[in-house]
Amino acid sequence: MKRLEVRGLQIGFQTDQGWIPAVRDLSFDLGVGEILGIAGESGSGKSALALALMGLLPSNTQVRGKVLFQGGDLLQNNAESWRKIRGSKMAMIFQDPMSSLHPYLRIGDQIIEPLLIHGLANPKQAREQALACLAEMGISDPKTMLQQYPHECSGGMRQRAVIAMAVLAKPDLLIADEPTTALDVTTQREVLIWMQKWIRASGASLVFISHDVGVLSEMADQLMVMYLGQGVERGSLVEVLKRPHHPYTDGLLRSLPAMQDRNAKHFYSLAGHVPPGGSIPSGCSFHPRCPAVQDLCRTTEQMLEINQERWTACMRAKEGSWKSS
Amino acid sequence: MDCMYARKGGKLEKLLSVENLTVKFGKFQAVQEVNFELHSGEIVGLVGESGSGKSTLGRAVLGLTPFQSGSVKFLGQSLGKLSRKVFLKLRPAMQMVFQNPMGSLDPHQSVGSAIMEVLRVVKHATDEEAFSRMKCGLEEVGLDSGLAHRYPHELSGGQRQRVAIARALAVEPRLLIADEPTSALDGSAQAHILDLLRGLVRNRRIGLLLITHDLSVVKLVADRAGVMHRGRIIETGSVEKIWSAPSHAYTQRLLAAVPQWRR
Ligand SMILES: Nc1ncnc2c1ncn2[C@@H]1O[C@H](COP(=O)(O)OP(=O)(O)OP(=O)(O)O)[C@@H](O)[C@H]1O
Ligand SMILES: Nc1ncnc2c1ncn2[C@@H]1O[C@H](COP(=O)(O)OP(=O)(O)O)[C@@H](O)[C@H]1O
Ligand SMILES: [Mg+2]
Ligand SMILES: [Mg+2]
Repeated sequence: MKRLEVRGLQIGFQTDQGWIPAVRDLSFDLGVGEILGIAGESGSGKSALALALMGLLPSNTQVRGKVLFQGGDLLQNNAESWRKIRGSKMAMIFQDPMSSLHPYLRIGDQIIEPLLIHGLANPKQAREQALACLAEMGISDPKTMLQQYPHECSGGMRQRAVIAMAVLAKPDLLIADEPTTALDVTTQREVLIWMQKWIRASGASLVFISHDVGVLSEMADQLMVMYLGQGVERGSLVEVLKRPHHPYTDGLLRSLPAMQDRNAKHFYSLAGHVPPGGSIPSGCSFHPRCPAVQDLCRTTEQMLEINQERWTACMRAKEGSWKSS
Repeated sequence: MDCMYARKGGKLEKLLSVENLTVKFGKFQAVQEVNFELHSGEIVGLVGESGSGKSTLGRAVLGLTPFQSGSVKFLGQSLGKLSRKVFLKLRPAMQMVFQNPMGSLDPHQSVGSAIMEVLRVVKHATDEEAFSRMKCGLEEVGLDSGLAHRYPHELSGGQRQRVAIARALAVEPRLLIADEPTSALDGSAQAHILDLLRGLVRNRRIGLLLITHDLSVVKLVADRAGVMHRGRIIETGSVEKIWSAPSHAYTQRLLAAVPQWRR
């Protein structure tokens, strides 16, 4: 069963220098209870996508396409309909917990706010739910924490506060944009295990954006890889990591620290850099950096559907592989 | 590509020596009696859980957070004892890349003009020089120089992080303290930055203190590492030694928690 269907999504930012296409013709599905990991080039549009799903893009933005969620198209929402579902049916966890916490309000009041706004609990019930949630996430003294201000908490505590704030209303869709980048590995592990358990128990769906392939490999069921505003590959996590069909995915995996040779003269990375916003290469947009580029790639782009769950934007994936070249 | 002025090579010398450094916020000791040394041409990794005091230590070393006791010597000179004039002259040689690039970039200035400004002020570059070195510097960190006219909020997290690195490198520091410099980067961009930093250390003999919670990064590039726990450095040693035979129980726990993925 599907929870979210994204169809032909286009996101553009207006700047002094003209339009910057941040997401270009992106389509994908998210199943009920599924964790979809999203990895990709820095600047490839992951955060823009997340903000679009939440209706939080800044005003200098143009969005086209369809985002189907619970029988409606989110992109048709007005401010009032966004207010109704944001924080109740869907919630977001940002990378920097300080950006979602108000510095002058007590942690407790902030965590229970969504429950109160949407009339899902009275203050006493809300407080109890918050206490239970923080305790489950491994906060040793949740009572004290509810009374504290954000600056009195460590980064790990703040991040858990933000997660509690997002999940207490039991949303059906949770979007997390690099939620644990600020955490050390031990805290990160605790938080991730808890989030995964919560998803499994609640049946909610999770879009999980991360640069850390190690984290994704422990967290996600499905993986989508983005490059220059497009999804270039999608499939089950195991499949994509074991047998990447797109040369970008392959390069990404090969450049991870654990895959590098410490004694090499240079570390492996993809040559060149992403063109600046606005100028999208012809044909396959990865072709200027592709180690396996052929003439056809410069003029033609093609989406290859390998099966329902597995697709790639590399047309050469069909002929056995570009890897032999 | 090489965006720096001359000065190849350089001596291998003791850049930094930190003795019994203690930083308190009120009664709370964020850094407790920390000792370490950093030489030119060397990468020292600093790892540890969040809140263990890594960033505070980095900031205190550069005089950005006052410390209560101990000493920090840069090229043999005790930073606390320098006159303001001498300190300001020495200061550009020590650069820091901050953990949160949004906070360290001016929201009202395009990122290109921010880099050009430090080049003009610190390196006394002419407008043309500043412009071409700014472009070169952005490309060096893997960004297209077309991003120069954008404001920080118009960039992705990873683009901002690389702008902050380009700005720190623009003044050709002898010592670079990089606080989680690749945390927002994809694998390829991370490898590119690590390669760039390692190149500056090998070829130009800068000293790099690399603060990160990513142990695989330290294992890949650092010569030595220190493990921080509750304000103290509880273990130091070569990267080989720490990974093969961690002596402290906390280090063992840290290494065991690293998410693993291998092809
Ligand atoms: N407010 C904005 N105005 C103009 N351009 C923007 C704005 N926000 C993002 N961009 C541009 O849109 C593109 C996509 O940005 P986005 O933040 O979605 O990238 P990302 O995939 O999240 O990258 P990262 O991994 O570095 O966080 C980038 O080229 C970025 O520079
Ligand atoms: N300006 C400050 N005022 C009060 N406490 C602070 C301040 N800066 C950091 N701390 C505290 O000092 C400790 C170490 O923080 P930090 O150096 O940022 O850790 P790390 O970088 O290792 O995650 C934390 O407990 C943090 O809450
Ligand atoms: Mg982002
Ligand atoms: Mg820090």
